[in-house]
Amino acid sequence: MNLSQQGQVPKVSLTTPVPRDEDGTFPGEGWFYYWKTSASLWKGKLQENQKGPNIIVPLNWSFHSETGDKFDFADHRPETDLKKLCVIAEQLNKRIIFLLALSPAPFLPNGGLPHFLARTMAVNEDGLGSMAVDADGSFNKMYSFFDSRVYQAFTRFTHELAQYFSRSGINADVWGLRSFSYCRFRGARSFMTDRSIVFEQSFARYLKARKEEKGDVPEGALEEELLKLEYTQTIERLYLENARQSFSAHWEGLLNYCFIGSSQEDTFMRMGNLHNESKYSFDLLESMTQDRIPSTVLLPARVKRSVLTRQSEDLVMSSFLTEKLQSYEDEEATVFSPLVHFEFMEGVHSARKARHDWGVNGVLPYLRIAYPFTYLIRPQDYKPREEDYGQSDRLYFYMGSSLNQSNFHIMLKRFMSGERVLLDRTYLGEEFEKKLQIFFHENSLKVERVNFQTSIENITLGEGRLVIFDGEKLKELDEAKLFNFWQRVIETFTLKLISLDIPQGVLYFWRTRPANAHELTYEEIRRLSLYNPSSYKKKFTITVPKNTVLMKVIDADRSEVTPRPSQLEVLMLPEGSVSVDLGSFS
Amino acid sequence: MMKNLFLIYGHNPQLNYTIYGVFEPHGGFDTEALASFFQEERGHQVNPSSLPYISGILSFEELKNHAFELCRERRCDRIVLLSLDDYNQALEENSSPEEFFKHLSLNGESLENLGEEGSKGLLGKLFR
Repeated sequence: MNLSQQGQVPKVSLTTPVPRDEDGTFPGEGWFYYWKTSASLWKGKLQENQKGPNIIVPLNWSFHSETGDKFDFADHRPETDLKKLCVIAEQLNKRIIFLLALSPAPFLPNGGLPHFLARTMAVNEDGLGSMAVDADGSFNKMYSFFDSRVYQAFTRFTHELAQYFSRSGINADVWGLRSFSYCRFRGARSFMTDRSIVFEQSFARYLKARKEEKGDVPEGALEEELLKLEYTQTIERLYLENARQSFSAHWEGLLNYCFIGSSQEDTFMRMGNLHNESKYSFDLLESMTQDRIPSTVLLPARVKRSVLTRQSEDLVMSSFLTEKLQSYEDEEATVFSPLVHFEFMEGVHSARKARHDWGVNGVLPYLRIAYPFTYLIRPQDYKPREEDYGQSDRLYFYMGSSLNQSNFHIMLKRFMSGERVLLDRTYLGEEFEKKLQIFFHENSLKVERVNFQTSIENITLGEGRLVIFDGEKLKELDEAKLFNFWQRVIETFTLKLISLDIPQGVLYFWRTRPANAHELTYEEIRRLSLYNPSSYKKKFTITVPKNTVLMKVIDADRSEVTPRPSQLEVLMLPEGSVSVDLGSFS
Repeated sequence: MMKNLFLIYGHNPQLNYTIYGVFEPHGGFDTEALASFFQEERGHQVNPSSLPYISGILSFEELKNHAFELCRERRCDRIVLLSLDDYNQALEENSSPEEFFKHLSLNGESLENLGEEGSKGLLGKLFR
């Protein structure tokens, strides 16, 4: 359900910012910019302003090294004393989470690079210089991470930082941070993405090396775009591995953050000091469907009014982020996770050549209307763990144009594990077509062929089902036919889907968790959170689905929920929000 | 003080001229308003798959005509058309938003709105 489809009137604000002193140091969500205030004030300020259990501290490379070969870790400036920060956190009974940027960081000047390394501005896929507007209205320009000097300096920095951690007995967790923006038309975009001259030169060297090793050259724009993606991922992994090895015992993992208000569309709006708060609310929810942690730290406090802040607190800080931070240490934690019925492998974007994503064949636009935010778009390099196979309440979508060897094998393994897989064969390589035919033949699988708006092949193996369709033909259909097509296709699968008739302008988000020992009547607890970022009062009725019982109404703010037999009557004032827990049984 | 509107455009053989963004130092357009203006006021078929950008403008002359109408709608004194290179150069060479806007206003191709009142079109209704 994107904004244009919802027919919302965007709430655009244009006012002069009046920043509070703390806004610069505490941009929200438990983040603390230690370099923006005197070390002598750290304790008092943290005591006064830091509410949650965690203090999220992004490490500011340029603050610790102006020259790249000399570093200041508590040597000269007291504000570089990270050990002191950890001691204060301990005194305040808080947990410090250090974030180490592994890509340009949109909340830091020069994307976090020391001044002397900020040489070649990064350029996005459209050819626009990469930048983000910070909460105080300043422009943070991003510089290329594909410059070998940047990588060498990063290596020195992580080495020195890790040494300092070890020397000073810092025992806090370090997480790698990858930064993304979210565009409602194009999905999540990494700030690592670069098409500057430095990137193109290093990519040319990569192609040359590849040609010498494998003897092949990219054929066509799409293949070149895929190779650029592959090359970008290779360099990303270099930065990641470097940091992981430097910090070894302190290293906790990788966090992918999506910074709300940092897409190119937002940047142009924000250059004129305009903000669209309803859109930010929508983007925050969509970011989670891209498996990225949404953050509002780039937004000024005045635009983070009730709904956006509540979304951030309810859905991100006490749920989504908690889950990410626990994933490595507490697998059994029963926090709510986003409810996912549809899992996609990310498509390929190339503004200048072709677009091969899930908007083109109409499935994502359909789901955005019918089952908003119950999908998850995985990055192309995502590799499931063994225990992730065999999910029965999920459909998996793969796009022919962006399949590689690894994804192809994951797709077949899913099918063989009894999962339901849909493959759009648009631009599916000849090699994969052949492999599929061999796979069907070797396993004596019967291929049923159906013609409904496009050619569809249906293959079953035990519980597993593989549906292969030609997405290219779907492009010719109008919106109504396309929606009908996807409705019919999805109905052929048995899923515990809940369709709600919610008025335009109200956003809702489903989460789920297993029932605990006190809730054995239920199999699963689903939490429905409703938000009204519009300026209008909304009154509507929700039909409680079959085999589902209302357990409780929570966090009602400017909202009322009145239970009726099999229904809930909901009244939401502007900026209102409320959640309901529903127990689900077979 | 002169009220400037800035338009960033690019050109490539497949998408012809593309408008990447239109903004003022204190104001601008959201994508819906810009797309509606092109679709409804200018009769330009907006390609949904190119959003948030407006693509498919066939010539620089056509781009200038659209730009001039945008300028009239917003009752700006002038609109400055800046290529991707102009825009990127302004970003590279300037650190503060003030310097950036000053740089933009001194570069690119400028179209003056010579005193004519803005129209009563879509953007006028939305933004006044």
